[in-house]
Amino acid sequence: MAEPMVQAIRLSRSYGDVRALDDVSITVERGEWLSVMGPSGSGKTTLLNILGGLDRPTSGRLAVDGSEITGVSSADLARFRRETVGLVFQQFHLVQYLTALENVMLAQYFHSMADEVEAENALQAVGMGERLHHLPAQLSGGEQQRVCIARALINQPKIILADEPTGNLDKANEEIVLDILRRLHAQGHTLIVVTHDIRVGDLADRLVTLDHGRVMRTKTNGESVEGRSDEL
Amino acid sequence: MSFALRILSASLRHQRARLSVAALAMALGSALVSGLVNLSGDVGGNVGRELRAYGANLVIRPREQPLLVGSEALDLGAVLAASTIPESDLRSAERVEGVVGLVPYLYVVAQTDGGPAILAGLDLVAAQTLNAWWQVQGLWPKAEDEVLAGIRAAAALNLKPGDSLTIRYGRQTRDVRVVGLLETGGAEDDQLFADLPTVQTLTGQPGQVGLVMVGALTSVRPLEAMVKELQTLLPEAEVGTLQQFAKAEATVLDKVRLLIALVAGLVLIAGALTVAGTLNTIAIERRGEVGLMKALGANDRRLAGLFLGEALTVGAAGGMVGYLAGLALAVAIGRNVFESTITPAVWGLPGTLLVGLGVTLAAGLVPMRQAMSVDPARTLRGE
Amino acid sequence: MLIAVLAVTTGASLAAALLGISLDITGQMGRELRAYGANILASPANGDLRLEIGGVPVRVPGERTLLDENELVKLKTIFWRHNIVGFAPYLTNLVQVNGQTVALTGTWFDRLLTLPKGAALRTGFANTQNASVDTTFQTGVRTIAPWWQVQGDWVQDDDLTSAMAGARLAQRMSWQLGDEIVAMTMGRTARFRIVGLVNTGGYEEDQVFVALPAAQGLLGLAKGADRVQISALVEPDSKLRPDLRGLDPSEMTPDQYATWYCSPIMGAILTQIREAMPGAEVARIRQISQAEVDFLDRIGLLMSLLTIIALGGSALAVMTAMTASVMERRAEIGLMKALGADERQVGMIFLSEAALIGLAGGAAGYALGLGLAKGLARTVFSAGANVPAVVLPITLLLAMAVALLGSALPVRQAMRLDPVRLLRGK
Repeated sequence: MAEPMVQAIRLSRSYGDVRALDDVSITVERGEWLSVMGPSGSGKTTLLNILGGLDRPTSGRLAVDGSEITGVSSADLARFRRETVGLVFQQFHLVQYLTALENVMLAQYFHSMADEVEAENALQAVGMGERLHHLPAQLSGGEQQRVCIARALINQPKIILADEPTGNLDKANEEIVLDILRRLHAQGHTLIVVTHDIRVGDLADRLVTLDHGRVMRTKTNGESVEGRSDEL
Repeated sequence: MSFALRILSASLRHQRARLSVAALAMALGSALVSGLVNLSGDVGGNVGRELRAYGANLVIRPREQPLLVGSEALDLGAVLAASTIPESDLRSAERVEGVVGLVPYLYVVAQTDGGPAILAGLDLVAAQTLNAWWQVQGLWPKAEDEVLAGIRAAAALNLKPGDSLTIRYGRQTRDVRVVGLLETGGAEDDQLFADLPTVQTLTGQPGQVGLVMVGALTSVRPLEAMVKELQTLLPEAEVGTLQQFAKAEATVLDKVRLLIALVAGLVLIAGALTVAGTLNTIAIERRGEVGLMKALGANDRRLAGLFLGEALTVGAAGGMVGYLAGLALAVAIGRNVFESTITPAVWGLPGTLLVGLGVTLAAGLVPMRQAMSVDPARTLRGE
Repeated sequence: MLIAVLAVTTGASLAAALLGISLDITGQMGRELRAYGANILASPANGDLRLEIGGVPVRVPGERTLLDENELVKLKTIFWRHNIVGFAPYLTNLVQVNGQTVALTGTWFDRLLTLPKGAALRTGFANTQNASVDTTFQTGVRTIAPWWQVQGDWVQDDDLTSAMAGARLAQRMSWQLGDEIVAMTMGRTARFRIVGLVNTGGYEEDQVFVALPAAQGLLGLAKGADRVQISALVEPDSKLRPDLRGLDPSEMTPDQYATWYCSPIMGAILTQIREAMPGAEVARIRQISQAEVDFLDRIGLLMSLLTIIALGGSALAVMTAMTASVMERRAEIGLMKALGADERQVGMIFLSEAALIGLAGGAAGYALGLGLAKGLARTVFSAGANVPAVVLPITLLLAMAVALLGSALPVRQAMRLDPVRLLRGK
């Protein structure tokens, strides 16, 4: 069997006295859709940030696509972020003064070179082909999120991390975005999605619940198993 | 590269309000530098010209001048068999670079009905320029028989403008008319003044002068150099420096230059602070953006490049505007304070831009480093 | 917040330093301009017409009206006594030395004078106060004519047997340092040893200088001077209260006259000297005084302009810092708004903070600026800075005003936004 895409071993993250993440171990197989759920303060965003190279664990080890991520330099971490990870945030985080097209090209630019045609195609793939030159302020929440997804995909990342991707969307747009995620999963992308919505969580292959920084239980497509973190 | 420019121009356009303030700050800072550079480049010259209002700082005497004094017993008229300088020799002296005023004098002790008095023949036109403090009540003499009377002389000899008096020297007699009164608070108050030819004729010394007062602009050339040149042109005469004026002038000029330089330094700091403050504000505003770009994997070089690009654009734009504003300011100050025109300093524009960009970069470094050390996770969370 | 205070402090110190310098620039420069020498001349009233060429007398009348040099100490009792930098009396005579006629001048070189305890000092237009102690001061040629260069030694004021010879005269007469000369006039003789040679480039080089009593002795006089040169610190007429400028003092009301009298301008100082020397004709030496006040006017104007520009620059610097500081706290404003605070309440909080920052930064800046001004003055001028007291309130006021203004605008702007946006940090 191929090496897991993500191997997180005993990750902990402390801020002063606060333990946001406590001894969490997770493995994500290639092509797997993992959902991370839990109440606010459970550490799910912290976990996602660490998996995405936005934050470093206080202790523990992390390997993505066979490469060790813990302990590398900031420059290497930046490279990891642009080459290996695609990020989708709840608050979109698009650059306000760049068009949809330019926002996608920005991710290309940081990676290697901006390619307008490629960016256009990526946007068309998410149904934003008619709104290439609109500024984020001129787009609805759902449209902005779709641009974010196109951006997340443009550099062919190994893993796609999404933090509450539908949290700010209405029902209709939520459906559109979930549809895209389903399509990506079907195409074989590895997805890790943080959500508080059980319906979104249930779409995943596997669901992990965190509470107070620790893994509480895990569920695999129907089954539910209460277990300790080291059994995953 | 072209996408980088695209980001830059979109960024600039988006922030144009805030960047305009930064550019304004930059312009202000540059205006200060440019104004001071253009002004102080010539402050020496302007102040030097102002200080010529004190009059002559050099004097040319005939060499081996015998004593111009007579005892009470001697006939005063015969005393002055003094040696003189030919007026024609002075033509070349007038053309020496830095000489701005040259007034030849010929003094005699003349007899009048009211008693003896000193009569000075001089180039009245040149005197009007060099001796700026001469205040004349009435008119300056224009014709050959017109004289100025110092106020104490006029009082002692009982003269008013319009009065005539007879002047005797040796066997010569001349009738002259007082056309104006002169008040200086100095030795001139006790003397009578006529134009040079009148006195030369009276003493039978046509084309000769006894003393030459010279005003030389020390901000143009060192005084010693001018003295040397004059001495070479007039080997028969003695060129001397009036220490009273030369020393004081040198001291004052130095102090004014130093003062302006120090004030300029302080003002530059103000300009730098303004730029730094504004760039800092901008950096703080951009934290969210920086966090995002870092999340997307931008490395420090790319980020620095973007910030630098913005800083340099702001710096250049503000710097140009500021340079012109500063130049206009210097010209205005020059005209109103010194009543003279300021010529733009050659190295004014490159100097201002250099300083302006240098300050922008230096001022921008700290906020830039601060901005780049932003933790993407925290800013994306909205902290 | 610390950055804001620092910015205000820096801006305030610049403002205080420049204000401190430019408010007294005419006084400071005026002091430097005393290097040009005396700007006031006192002569005996109804004196004889002087017959001088190039500063050297051609003839000296036998009987002359003279001034009493012992009265000169009263110059240190006038209202503007602190502006009298120095004075020197002169008595010039023609004497015979080796059959040649030579000009001999007696003067004070560096005389120690005492203003006795009990002397009436003018402290206001109509007020006098008796001096509480004896004060001594030195005055003479060395004070008012700093350009004199002496090869050898200066004559001591109590030494009646030494003389300094002008360099040109010495050369003509073939005198050397150490030579003894015998001066004769009107049947009297005096011996002098030449202890110094005077170099000035001017008329001094054609004369012999001795202590004043020595010259008086040659004339059989116990006292007397034919002129007194006075060096006074004078401010330009533009420093006179605006409504008094151009008015003739003799046509002023008593109040106006009192103000005019107590202004450090030439007219008032001349009037006060005349009051102290009733037998004298006192006038300004225009060659020196006119150029001086013109120059001071220009320098004053230049400094004012530079100060205003610099103040504008620092004000802008402070305002950008205050704006940044408010921007940083937008989330706070958002929270307050979300909790229902209205613009006035939020404004009060931020503006009172700004006022405090302005006050604290202004005070610290003033202290720093004072040091800066003093350092600047010490570097440029011969005397230390005389920073007027008014700089403190001006600095504090400006600092607070700029801090308030710099806060008010961004706070107003922030208040217009939705709390949500503010809390998000967008």
